[in-house]
Amino acid sequence: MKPSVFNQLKEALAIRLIIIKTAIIYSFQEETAYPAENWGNMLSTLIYIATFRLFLNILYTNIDTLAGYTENEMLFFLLVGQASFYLSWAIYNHNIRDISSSVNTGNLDLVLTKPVPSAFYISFRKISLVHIFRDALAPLLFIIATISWETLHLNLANILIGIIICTLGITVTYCVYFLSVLPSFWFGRSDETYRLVYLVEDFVQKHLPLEGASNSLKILLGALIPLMIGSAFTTSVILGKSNALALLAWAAAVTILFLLIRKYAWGRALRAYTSASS
Amino acid sequence: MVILQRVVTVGLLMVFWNLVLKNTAGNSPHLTGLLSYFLIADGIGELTMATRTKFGTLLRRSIKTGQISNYLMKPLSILPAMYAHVWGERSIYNAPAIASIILGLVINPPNHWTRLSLFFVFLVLSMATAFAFNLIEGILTFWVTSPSGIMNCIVHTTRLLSGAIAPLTFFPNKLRNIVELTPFPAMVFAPINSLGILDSPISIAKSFLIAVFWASALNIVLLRLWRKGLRKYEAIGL
Repeated sequence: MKPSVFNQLKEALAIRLIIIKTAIIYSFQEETAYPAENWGNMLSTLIYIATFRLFLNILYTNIDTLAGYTENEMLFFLLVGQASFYLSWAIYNHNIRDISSSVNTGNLDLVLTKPVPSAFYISFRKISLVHIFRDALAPLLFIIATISWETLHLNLANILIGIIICTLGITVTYCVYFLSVLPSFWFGRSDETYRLVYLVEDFVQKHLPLEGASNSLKILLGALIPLMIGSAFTTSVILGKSNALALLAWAAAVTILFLLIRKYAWGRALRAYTSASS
Repeated sequence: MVILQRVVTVGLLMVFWNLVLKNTAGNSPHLTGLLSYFLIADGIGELTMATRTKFGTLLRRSIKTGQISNYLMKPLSILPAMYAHVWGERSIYNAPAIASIILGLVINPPNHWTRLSLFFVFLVLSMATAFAFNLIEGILTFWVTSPSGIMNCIVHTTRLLSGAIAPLTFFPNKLRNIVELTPFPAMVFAPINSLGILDSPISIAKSFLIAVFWASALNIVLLRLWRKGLRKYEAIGL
Protein backbone atom coordinates (compact mmCIF):
# COMPACT_ATOMS: atom_id res chain seq x y z
CA MET A 1 0.00 0.00 0.00
CA LYS A 2 1.30 3.47 -0.88
CA PRO A 3 2.06 5.59 2.23
CA SER A 4 -0.11 8.67 2.71
CA VAL A 5 1.27 12.19 2.16
CA PHE A 6 1.15 12.74 5.92
CA ASN A 7 3.25 9.62 6.59
CA GLN A 8 5.74 10.63 3.90
CA LEU A 9 6.09 14.07 5.47
CA LYS A 10 6.45 12.53 8.94
CA GLU A 11 9.15 10.18 7.68
CA ALA A 12 11.01 12.99 5.89
CA LEU A 13 10.93 15.15 9.01
CA ALA A 14 12.00 12.27 11.28
CA ILE A 15 15.05 11.45 9.19
CA ARG A 16 16.10 15.11 9.13
CA LEU A 17 15.77 15.34 12.92
CA ILE A 18 17.94 12.24 13.31
CA ILE A 19 20.59 13.83 11.05
CA ILE A 20 20.53 17.04 13.12
CA LYS A 21 20.81 15.14 16.45
CA THR A 22 23.71 13.00 15.22
CA ALA A 23 25.43 16.04 13.73
CA ILE A 24 25.28 17.96 17.02
CA ILE A 25 26.66 15.06 19.12
CA TYR A 26 29.48 14.24 16.69
CA SER A 27 30.50 17.88 16.29
CA PHE A 28 30.58 18.36 20.07
CA GLN A 29 32.92 15.39 20.54
CA GLU A 30 35.17 16.54 17.71
CA GLU A 31 35.39 20.16 18.81
CA THR A 32 36.12 19.63 22.47
CA ALA A 33 39.15 17.44 21.66
CA TYR A 34 41.69 20.33 21.65
CA PRO A 35 41.24 22.66 24.67
CA ALA A 36 44.10 24.99 23.69
CA GLU A 37 42.54 25.52 20.27
CA ASN A 38 39.19 26.30 21.89
CA TRP A 39 40.68 29.02 24.09
CA GLY A 40 42.71 30.34 21.18
CA ASN A 41 39.63 30.60 18.97
CA MET A 42 37.65 32.34 21.69
CA LEU A 43 40.43 34.88 22.10
CA SER A 44 40.73 35.24 18.34
CA THR A 45 37.09 36.18 17.75
CA LEU A 46 37.17 38.57 20.69
CA ILE A 47 40.30 40.31 19.40
CA TYR A 48 38.76 40.42 15.93
CA ILE A 49 35.72 42.30 17.19
CA ALA A 50 37.87 44.51 19.42
CA THR A 51 40.00 45.53 16.43
CA PHE A 52 36.89 46.22 14.38
CA ARG A 53 35.50 48.28 17.26
CA LEU A 54 38.75 50.24 17.24
CA PHE A 55 38.43 50.68 13.47
CA LEU A 56 34.94 52.15 13.90
CA ASN A 57 36.27 54.39 16.63
CA ILE A 58 39.02 55.66 14.32
CA LEU A 59 36.51 56.16 11.53
CA TYR A 60 34.06 58.13 13.64
CA THR A 61 36.77 60.53 14.81
CA ASN A 62 36.70 61.72 11.15
CA ILE A 63 32.94 61.54 10.47
CA ASP A 64 29.64 62.03 12.33
CA THR A 65 27.50 59.56 10.41
CA LEU A 66 28.07 56.91 7.78
CA ALA A 67 25.16 56.56 5.32
CA GLY A 68 23.01 58.10 8.05
CA TYR A 69 24.21 55.66 10.71
CA THR A 70 25.70 56.98 13.93
CA GLU A 71 28.55 55.07 15.57
CA ASN A 72 26.06 53.46 17.91
CA GLU A 73 23.83 52.35 15.02
CA MET A 74 26.87 50.95 13.20
CA LEU A 75 27.63 48.91 16.33
CA PHE A 76 24.09 47.55 16.21
CA PHE A 77 24.59 46.75 12.51
CA LEU A 78 27.79 44.93 13.48
CA LEU A 79 25.92 42.97 16.15
CA VAL A 80 23.25 41.79 13.68
CA GLY A 81 25.86 40.94 11.04
CA GLN A 82 28.03 38.98 13.46
CA ALA A 83 25.08 37.13 15.01
CA SER A 84 23.87 35.96 11.59
CA PHE A 85 27.44 35.10 10.56
CA TYR A 86 28.08 32.91 13.62
CA LEU A 87 24.73 31.19 13.29
CA SER A 88 25.28 30.37 9.64
CA TRP A 89 28.86 29.27 10.32
CA ALA A 90 27.79 26.95 13.13
CA ILE A 91 24.89 25.43 11.23
CA TYR A 92 25.97 24.97 7.63
CA ASN A 93 28.87 27.05 6.39
CA HIS A 94 31.76 24.71 7.21
CA ASN A 95 29.80 21.77 5.78
CA ILE A 96 29.32 23.58 2.48
CA ARG A 97 32.99 24.55 2.37
CA ASP A 98 33.85 20.82 2.44
CA ILE A 99 31.59 19.88 -0.48
CA SER A 100 34.16 20.89 -3.09
CA SER A 101 36.83 18.55 -1.69
CA SER A 102 34.24 15.75 -1.26
CA VAL A 103 33.45 16.00 -4.95
CA ASN A 104 37.10 16.26 -5.90
CA THR A 105 38.17 13.20 -3.95
CA GLY A 106 35.06 11.15 -4.69
CA ASN A 107 34.04 11.08 -0.99
CA LEU A 108 30.60 12.26 -2.02
CA ASP A 109 29.94 8.66 -3.07
CA LEU A 110 29.61 7.73 0.60
CA VAL A 111 26.96 10.40 1.10
CA LEU A 112 25.01 9.39 -1.98
CA THR A 113 24.88 5.74 -0.94
CA LYS A 114 23.20 6.62 2.38
CA PRO A 115 19.37 6.43 2.44
CA VAL A 116 19.04 10.09 3.44
CA PRO A 117 18.16 13.31 1.58
CA SER A 118 21.63 14.06 0.19
CA ALA A 119 21.53 17.88 -0.11
CA PHE A 120 20.17 18.21 3.42
CA TYR A 121 22.67 15.73 4.86
CA ILE A 122 25.68 17.29 3.15
CA SER A 123 24.62 20.78 4.29
CA PHE A 124 24.00 19.96 7.94
CA ARG A 125 26.15 16.94 8.73
CA LYS A 126 28.08 18.84 11.41
CA ILE A 127 26.23 21.34 13.57
CA SER A 128 28.64 23.04 15.85
CA LEU A 129 26.97 24.26 19.03
CA VAL A 130 30.41 24.47 20.66
CA HIS A 131 31.33 26.96 17.96
CA ILE A 132 28.49 29.27 18.98
CA PHE A 133 29.41 29.21 22.67
CA ARG A 134 33.15 29.22 22.15
CA ASP A 135 33.55 31.71 19.31
CA ALA A 136 30.38 33.78 19.23
CA LEU A 137 29.41 34.40 22.84
CA ALA A 138 32.36 36.58 23.91
CA PRO A 139 32.40 38.90 20.86
CA LEU A 140 28.61 39.26 20.79
CA LEU A 141 28.52 40.11 24.50
CA PHE A 142 31.34 42.59 23.90
CA ILE A 143 29.34 44.36 21.17
CA ILE A 144 26.17 44.28 23.27
CA ALA A 145 28.06 45.88 26.15
CA THR A 146 29.43 48.67 23.96
CA ILE A 147 26.08 49.65 22.41
CA SER A 148 24.26 52.54 24.04
CA TRP A 149 20.81 50.93 23.93
CA GLU A 150 18.80 53.89 25.21
CA THR A 151 19.68 55.96 22.13
CA LEU A 152 18.37 53.33 19.69
CA HIS A 153 14.73 53.70 18.66
CA LEU A 154 13.48 50.13 18.84
CA ASN A 155 9.93 48.78 18.81
CA LEU A 156 8.63 45.25 19.17
CA ALA A 157 6.93 45.00 15.76
CA ASN A 158 10.09 46.00 13.93
CA ILE A 159 12.19 43.62 16.03
CA LEU A 160 9.89 40.69 15.22
CA ILE A 161 9.85 41.47 11.49
CA GLY A 162 13.63 41.96 11.68
CA ILE A 163 14.08 38.49 13.19
CA ILE A 164 12.00 36.95 10.38
CA ILE A 165 14.05 38.83 7.75
CA CYS A 166 17.27 37.74 9.44
CA THR A 167 16.12 34.08 9.31
CA LEU A 168 15.26 34.48 5.64
CA GLY A 169 18.64 36.16 5.12
CA ILE A 170 20.50 33.23 6.71
CA THR A 171 18.50 30.82 4.52
CA VAL A 172 19.18 32.71 1.30
CA THR A 173 22.87 33.11 2.21
CA TYR A 174 22.94 29.32 2.64
CA CYS A 175 21.60 28.97 -0.91
CA VAL A 176 24.25 31.36 -2.30
CA TYR A 177 27.06 29.46 -0.56
CA PHE A 178 25.61 26.16 -1.73
CA LEU A 179 25.47 27.37 -5.33
CA SER A 180 29.04 28.69 -5.05
CA VAL A 181 30.46 25.20 -4.49
CA LEU A 182 28.48 23.43 -7.21
CA PRO A 183 30.94 24.31 -10.02
CA SER A 184 33.16 21.60 -8.46
CA PHE A 185 30.84 19.01 -10.05
CA TRP A 186 31.90 20.26 -13.48
CA PHE A 187 35.38 21.69 -12.90
CA GLY A 188 36.74 19.51 -10.08
CA ARG A 189 37.16 22.28 -7.50
CA SER A 190 35.34 25.43 -6.52
CA ASP A 191 37.21 26.69 -3.44
CA GLU A 192 37.82 30.07 -5.04
CA THR A 193 34.14 30.74 -5.88
CA TYR A 194 33.30 29.85 -2.28
CA ARG A 195 36.02 32.20 -1.08
CA LEU A 196 34.69 34.96 -3.30
CA VAL A 197 31.24 34.66 -1.71
CA TYR A 198 32.88 34.61 1.73
CA LEU A 199 34.82 37.80 0.95
CA VAL A 200 31.69 39.62 -0.19
CA GLU A 201 29.58 38.40 2.74
CA ASP A 202 32.28 39.33 5.26
CA PHE A 203 32.43 42.84 3.82
CA VAL A 204 28.70 43.38 3.44
CA GLN A 205 27.93 42.26 7.00
CA LYS A 206 30.19 44.85 8.59
CA HIS A 207 30.73 47.75 6.22
CA LEU A 208 27.68 48.34 4.07
CA PRO A 209 24.38 49.50 5.60
CA LEU A 210 21.38 49.29 3.28
CA GLU A 211 21.12 53.09 3.12
CA GLY A 212 24.74 53.30 1.93
CA ALA A 213 24.20 51.09 -1.11
CA SER A 214 23.39 52.59 -4.50
CA ASN A 215 20.34 51.22 -6.34
CA SER A 216 22.48 48.98 -8.53
CA LEU A 217 24.28 47.60 -5.45
CA LYS A 218 20.92 46.97 -3.77
CA ILE A 219 19.82 44.91 -6.76
CA LEU A 220 23.16 43.11 -6.93
CA LEU A 221 23.51 42.30 -3.23
CA GLY A 222 19.82 42.22 -2.36
CA ALA A 223 18.53 40.08 -5.24
CA LEU A 224 21.18 38.66 -7.60
CA ILE A 225 23.73 37.64 -4.94
CA PRO A 226 21.53 38.29 -1.92
CA LEU A 227 24.09 38.52 0.88
CA MET A 228 22.72 41.78 2.27
CA ILE A 229 19.42 40.49 3.57
CA GLY A 230 20.59 38.85 6.82
CA SER A 231 22.41 41.91 8.12
CA ALA A 232 21.69 45.17 6.23
CA PHE A 233 17.96 44.56 5.62
CA THR A 234 17.45 43.33 9.18
CA THR A 235 19.26 46.27 10.78
CA SER A 236 17.47 48.81 8.62
CA VAL A 237 14.07 47.36 9.59
CA ILE A 238 14.83 47.05 13.33
CA LEU A 239 16.13 50.62 13.46
CA GLY A 240 13.00 51.82 11.65
CA LYS A 241 14.91 53.25 8.70
CA SER A 242 13.00 51.32 6.00
CA ASN A 243 9.53 50.09 5.24
CA ALA A 244 9.48 46.82 7.21
CA LEU A 245 6.74 45.04 5.26
CA ALA A 246 8.21 45.92 1.86
CA LEU A 247 11.62 44.52 2.87
CA LEU A 248 9.97 41.44 4.40
CA ALA A 249 8.15 40.74 1.12
CA TRP A 250 11.38 41.29 -0.84
CA ALA A 251 13.34 38.97 1.47
CA ALA A 252 10.66 36.26 1.31
CA ALA A 253 10.40 36.38 -2.49
CA VAL A 254 14.18 36.23 -3.00
CA THR A 255 14.52 33.37 -0.47
CA ILE A 256 11.83 31.25 -2.14
CA LEU A 257 13.39 31.87 -5.55
CA PHE A 258 16.85 30.88 -4.34
CA LEU A 259 15.57 27.74 -2.60
CA LEU A 260 14.06 26.65 -5.92
CA ILE A 261 17.27 27.50 -7.81
CA ARG A 262 19.31 25.56 -5.23
CA LYS A 263 17.08 22.49 -5.61
CA TYR A 264 17.25 22.61 -9.40
CA ALA A 265 21.02 23.23 -9.45
CA TRP A 266 21.68 20.33 -7.03
CA GLY A 267 19.77 17.99 -9.37
CA ARG A 268 21.84 19.16 -12.33
CA ALA A 269 25.06 18.85 -10.35
CA LEU A 270 24.30 15.28 -9.29
CA ARG A 271 23.68 14.33 -12.93
CA ALA A 272 27.12 15.74 -13.78
CA TYR A 273 28.84 13.86 -10.92
CA THR A 274 31.14 11.18 -12.25
CA SER A 275 31.40 9.34 -8.93
CA ALA A 276 35.04 8.35 -9.38
CA SER A 277 36.01 11.91 -8.43
CA SER A 278 35.60 14.90 -10.73
CA MET B 1 38.82 33.74 -10.10
CA VAL B 2 41.82 34.93 -8.08
CA ILE B 3 41.93 38.13 -10.13
CA LEU B 4 38.19 38.58 -9.67
CA GLN B 5 38.62 38.21 -5.89
CA ARG B 6 41.26 40.94 -5.91
CA VAL B 7 39.07 43.24 -8.02
CA VAL B 8 36.07 42.60 -5.76
CA THR B 9 38.12 43.17 -2.58
CA VAL B 10 39.46 46.52 -3.75
CA GLY B 11 36.11 47.46 -5.34
CA LEU B 12 34.21 46.87 -2.08
CA LEU B 13 36.80 48.81 -0.10
CA MET B 14 36.31 51.69 -2.53
CA VAL B 15 32.52 51.55 -2.11
CA PHE B 16 33.02 51.80 1.64
CA TRP B 17 35.62 54.57 1.56
CA ASN B 18 33.53 56.50 -0.95
CA LEU B 19 30.77 56.47 1.67
CA VAL B 20 33.24 57.62 4.31
CA LEU B 21 34.60 60.44 2.14
CA LYS B 22 31.06 61.71 1.46
CA ASN B 23 30.77 62.33 5.18
CA THR B 24 34.26 63.68 5.80
CA ALA B 25 34.80 67.39 6.11
CA GLY B 26 38.03 69.31 5.48
CA ASN B 27 41.25 67.78 4.15
CA SER B 28 39.95 64.41 3.09
CA PRO B 29 42.02 62.26 0.72
CA HIS B 30 40.85 61.92 -2.90
CA LEU B 31 39.13 58.76 -4.06
CA THR B 32 41.79 58.03 -6.70
CA GLY B 33 44.47 58.43 -4.01
CA LEU B 34 42.62 55.94 -1.85
CA LEU B 35 42.10 53.57 -4.78
CA SER B 36 45.84 53.65 -5.44
CA TYR B 37 46.54 53.14 -1.70
CA PHE B 38 44.32 50.06 -1.41
CA LEU B 39 45.56 48.51 -4.65
CA ILE B 40 49.15 48.76 -3.39
CA ALA B 41 48.23 47.77 0.19
CA ASP B 42 46.33 44.71 -1.00
CA GLY B 43 49.20 43.67 -3.25
CA ILE B 44 51.83 44.12 -0.52
CA GLY B 45 49.75 42.24 2.07
CA GLU B 46 49.36 39.29 -0.29
CA LEU B 47 52.92 39.30 -1.60
CA THR B 48 54.65 39.49 1.78
CA MET B 49 52.09 37.18 3.43
CA ALA B 50 51.50 39.80 6.11
CA THR B 51 47.71 39.68 5.92
CA ARG B 52 47.41 35.98 5.03
CA THR B 53 50.08 33.97 6.84
CA LYS B 54 50.41 31.14 4.34
CA PHE B 55 54.04 30.45 5.23
CA GLY B 56 53.04 30.22 8.89
CA THR B 57 50.20 27.86 7.97
CA LEU B 58 52.62 25.57 6.11
CA LEU B 59 54.98 25.53 9.11
CA ARG B 60 52.11 24.77 11.49
CA ARG B 61 50.72 21.94 9.36
CA SER B 62 54.14 20.44 8.71
CA ILE B 63 55.00 20.38 12.41
CA LYS B 64 51.59 19.11 13.47
CA THR B 65 51.52 16.26 10.95
CA GLY B 66 55.21 15.45 11.17
CA GLN B 67 55.80 16.30 7.51
CA ILE B 68 58.55 18.70 8.51
CA SER B 69 60.71 15.58 8.91
CA ASN B 70 60.88 15.46 5.10
CA TYR B 71 62.73 18.78 5.19
CA LEU B 72 64.81 17.96 8.27
CA MET B 73 66.38 14.87 6.72
CA LYS B 74 67.55 16.82 3.66
CA PRO B 75 70.86 18.75 3.61
CA LEU B 76 69.26 22.17 3.26
CA SER B 77 68.17 25.12 5.35
CA ILE B 78 64.61 24.36 6.32
CA LEU B 79 63.15 27.85 6.56
CA PRO B 80 64.40 29.22 3.21
CA ALA B 81 63.36 25.97 1.53
CA MET B 82 59.86 26.08 2.99
CA TYR B 83 59.53 29.80 2.26
CA ALA B 84 60.50 29.17 -1.37
CA HIS B 85 58.01 26.28 -1.46
CA VAL B 86 55.17 28.60 -0.39
CA TRP B 87 56.25 31.25 -2.88
CA GLY B 88 56.16 28.72 -5.68
CA GLU B 89 52.81 27.38 -4.57
CA ARG B 90 51.37 30.88 -4.34
CA SER B 91 52.65 32.19 -7.65
CA ILE B 92 49.06 32.18 -8.95
CA TYR B 93 48.20 34.67 -6.16
CA ASN B 94 51.46 36.61 -6.37
CA ALA B 95 51.07 37.52 -10.04
CA PRO B 96 47.79 39.45 -9.48
CA ALA B 97 49.32 40.96 -6.30
CA ILE B 98 52.22 42.37 -8.32
CA ALA B 99 49.78 43.58 -10.99
CA SER B 100 47.75 45.27 -8.23
CA ILE B 101 50.84 47.13 -6.96
CA ILE B 102 51.79 48.22 -10.51
CA LEU B 103 48.23 49.43 -11.19
CA GLY B 104 48.26 51.42 -7.94
CA LEU B 105 51.55 53.02 -8.95
CA VAL B 106 50.21 53.87 -12.41
CA ILE B 107 47.06 55.50 -11.01
CA ASN B 108 48.98 57.63 -8.53
CA PRO B 109 52.66 57.61 -9.55
CA PRO B 110 55.44 58.84 -7.22
CA ASN B 111 56.92 62.18 -8.27
CA HIS B 112 60.54 60.98 -8.42
CA TRP B 113 62.25 57.67 -9.30
CA THR B 114 64.15 57.70 -5.96
CA ARG B 115 60.79 57.19 -4.28
CA LEU B 116 60.39 53.97 -6.22
CA SER B 117 63.82 52.77 -5.04
CA LEU B 118 62.83 53.61 -1.48
CA PHE B 119 59.63 51.64 -1.98
CA PHE B 120 61.61 48.52 -2.87
CA VAL B 121 63.83 48.95 0.19
CA PHE B 122 60.74 49.20 2.39
CA LEU B 123 59.20 46.22 0.58
CA VAL B 124 62.21 44.08 1.56
CA LEU B 125 61.84 45.24 5.18
CA SER B 126 58.13 44.46 4.97
CA MET B 127 58.91 40.93 3.78
CA ALA B 128 61.41 40.42 6.59
CA THR B 129 58.93 41.59 9.23
CA ALA B 130 56.10 39.51 7.76
CA PHE B 131 58.48 36.50 7.63
CA ALA B 132 58.99 36.87 11.39
CA PHE B 133 55.23 37.10 12.00
CA ASN B 134 54.69 33.93 9.97
CA LEU B 135 57.45 32.25 11.95
CA ILE B 136 55.53 32.89 15.19
CA GLU B 137 52.86 30.46 13.97
CA GLY B 138 55.44 27.73 13.44
CA ILE B 139 57.15 28.35 16.77
CA LEU B 140 53.88 28.29 18.69
CA THR B 141 53.05 24.89 17.18
CA PHE B 142 56.02 23.34 19.01
CA TRP B 143 54.38 24.21 22.34
CA VAL B 144 50.66 24.51 21.56
CA THR B 145 49.01 21.76 19.49
CA SER B 146 46.96 24.08 17.33
CA PRO B 147 47.76 27.79 17.57
CA SER B 148 45.44 28.86 14.73
CA GLY B 149 43.28 30.90 17.13
CA ILE B 150 46.26 32.80 18.55
CA MET B 151 47.51 33.36 15.02
CA ASN B 152 44.12 34.73 13.96
CA CYS B 153 44.44 37.31 16.78
CA ILE B 154 47.76 38.42 15.34
CA VAL B 155 46.39 38.56 11.78
CA HIS B 156 43.32 40.61 12.81
CA THR B 157 45.53 43.07 14.67
CA THR B 158 47.95 43.20 11.74
CA ARG B 159 45.18 43.98 9.25
CA LEU B 160 44.10 47.03 11.21
CA LEU B 161 47.39 48.38 12.55
CA SER B 162 49.45 47.74 9.41
CA GLY B 163 47.20 50.03 7.41
CA ALA B 164 45.77 47.24 5.26
CA ILE B 165 42.12 48.25 5.86
CA ALA B 166 42.58 51.92 6.81
CA PRO B 167 45.51 54.25 6.10
CA LEU B 168 47.34 55.27 9.28
CA THR B 169 46.83 58.89 8.24
CA PHE B 170 43.18 58.36 9.18
CA PHE B 171 44.06 57.44 12.78
CA PRO B 172 43.75 60.01 15.58
CA ASN B 173 47.18 61.56 16.25
CA LYS B 174 47.72 60.03 19.69
CA LEU B 175 46.92 56.52 18.50
CA ARG B 176 48.95 57.01 15.32
CA ASN B 177 52.03 58.04 17.31
CA ILE B 178 51.81 54.83 19.34
CA VAL B 179 51.06 52.56 16.36
CA GLU B 180 54.01 54.02 14.42
CA LEU B 181 56.38 52.55 17.01
CA THR B 182 55.04 49.00 16.63
CA PRO B 183 56.19 46.53 13.94
CA PHE B 184 52.78 46.51 12.19
CA PRO B 185 53.09 49.60 9.92
CA ALA B 186 56.38 48.26 8.55
CA MET B 187 54.43 45.50 6.80
CA VAL B 188 52.01 47.55 4.67
CA PHE B 189 51.84 51.25 5.47
CA ALA B 190 55.57 52.09 5.49
CA PRO B 191 56.25 51.00 1.86
CA ILE B 192 53.29 53.07 0.62
CA ASN B 193 54.30 56.01 2.80
CA SER B 194 57.78 55.92 1.24
CA LEU B 195 56.26 56.59 -2.20
CA GLY B 196 55.23 60.07 -1.08
CA ILE B 197 51.74 59.72 -2.53
CA LEU B 198 49.85 60.17 0.76
CA ASP B 199 48.23 63.46 1.72
CA SER B 200 49.80 63.63 5.19
CA PRO B 201 52.83 61.32 5.14
CA ILE B 202 54.82 60.16 8.13
CA SER B 203 58.57 60.89 8.38
CA ILE B 204 60.35 58.38 6.12
CA ALA B 205 63.58 58.41 8.16
CA LYS B 206 61.69 57.58 11.36
CA SER B 207 59.61 54.95 9.60
CA PHE B 208 62.79 53.41 8.09
CA LEU B 209 64.58 53.19 11.44
CA ILE B 210 61.57 51.59 13.11
CA ALA B 211 61.16 49.10 10.24
CA VAL B 212 64.86 48.13 10.32
CA PHE B 213 64.74 47.70 14.09
CA TRP B 214 61.69 45.43 14.06
CA ALA B 215 62.74 43.43 10.99
CA SER B 216 66.09 42.59 12.60
CA ALA B 217 65.01 42.29 16.24
CA LEU B 218 62.02 40.04 15.51
CA ASN B 219 64.00 37.78 13.19
CA ILE B 220 66.93 37.43 15.61
CA VAL B 221 64.70 36.56 18.57
CA LEU B 222 62.30 34.35 16.65
CA LEU B 223 65.00 32.38 14.81
CA ARG B 224 66.50 31.54 18.23
CA LEU B 225 63.11 30.39 19.45
CA TRP B 226 62.63 28.39 16.25
CA ARG B 227 65.87 26.48 16.89
CA LYS B 228 64.78 25.88 20.48
CA GLY B 229 61.44 24.59 19.21
CA LEU B 230 63.13 22.27 16.73
CA ARG B 231 65.11 20.67 19.56
CA LYS B 232 61.79 19.94 21.26
CA TYR B 233 60.27 18.40 18.12
CA GLU B 234 59.89 14.60 18.24
CA ALA B 235 59.58 13.85 14.52
CA ILE B 236 56.31 11.95 14.72
CA GLY B 237 54.04 14.97 14.66
CA LEU B 238 52.31 16.51 17.66
